[in-house]
Amino acid sequence: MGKRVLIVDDSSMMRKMIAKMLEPVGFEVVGQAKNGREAIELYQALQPDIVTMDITMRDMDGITAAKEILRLDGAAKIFFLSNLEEERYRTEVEELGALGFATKHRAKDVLALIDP
Amino acid sequence: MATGNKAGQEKEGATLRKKGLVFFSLNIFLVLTLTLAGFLHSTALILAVMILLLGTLVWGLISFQRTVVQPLVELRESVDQMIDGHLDTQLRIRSSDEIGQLCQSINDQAMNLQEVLLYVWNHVQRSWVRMSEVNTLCGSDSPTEEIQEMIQGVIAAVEQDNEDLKGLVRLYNFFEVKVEEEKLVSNE
Repeated sequence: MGKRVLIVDDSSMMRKMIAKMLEPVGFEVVGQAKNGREAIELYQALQPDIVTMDITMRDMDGITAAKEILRLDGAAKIFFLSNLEEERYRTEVEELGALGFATKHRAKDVLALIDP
Repeated sequence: MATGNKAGQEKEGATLRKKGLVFFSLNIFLVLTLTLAGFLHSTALILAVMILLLGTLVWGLISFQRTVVQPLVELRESVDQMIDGHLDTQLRIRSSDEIGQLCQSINDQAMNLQEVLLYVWNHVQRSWVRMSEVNTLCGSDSPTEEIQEMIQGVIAAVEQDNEDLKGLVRLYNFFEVKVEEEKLVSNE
């Protein structure tokens, strides 16, 4: 799996944190989006290998954006990172066709999910 | 690395500045026309230009109140809400001008603060759970090697959690405080 990643999160600090988790293990952050709409635009423009997607975002949430990205590119590799620990998202995420769900607060969990 | 539209917006959104320049130019033009009318001793022209000039000044005043003063007052009220802890406050972005961009930045600031606090909460909770685990392990009658290893494992996990949390804090610059070798020291 290629290592060009698009980070989607409404908080610029969280985007920095996720970049700090991923860069040491060889990922290249090619873009950052702050809501679902930007995520879709940047996905089309940059064609990243993977996408990390926050769930709760203003303007357009992560689930809606992921649905649209997967519609445009069925092979898109999307990992959901959220600060909510609710198990209910896990099933929705799997039904959607995303590659998994981890809480963004735990670097180890994120890396285990994305780069096992 | 590509980000969203911020860079583009900075150029498109300088509409208050443009409005100011238009207002200024219009006034200069009318004042010069007035002076010319004076030289020409044309009462009719003087009167006409004076009316235009007054109209422009009145328009300027009303426009300033509406597009600058009023939005800033509302902005201040919303930010006071955020200061008071209401990080769910969202400033309404009414235009893409300089004030609209300021509102967007303030919203971003509140979002960052929210994320930081949720991150801290999450880590404190996890530490609490780990400590309970250690407590249970320590309560067993004879600390076998296996139990000791488990305790070491929990302690290592807590240390990792704390490193994550400290990593977040290190992303910030603080006023007159800095983090130096694990301690908070004065930055002066």
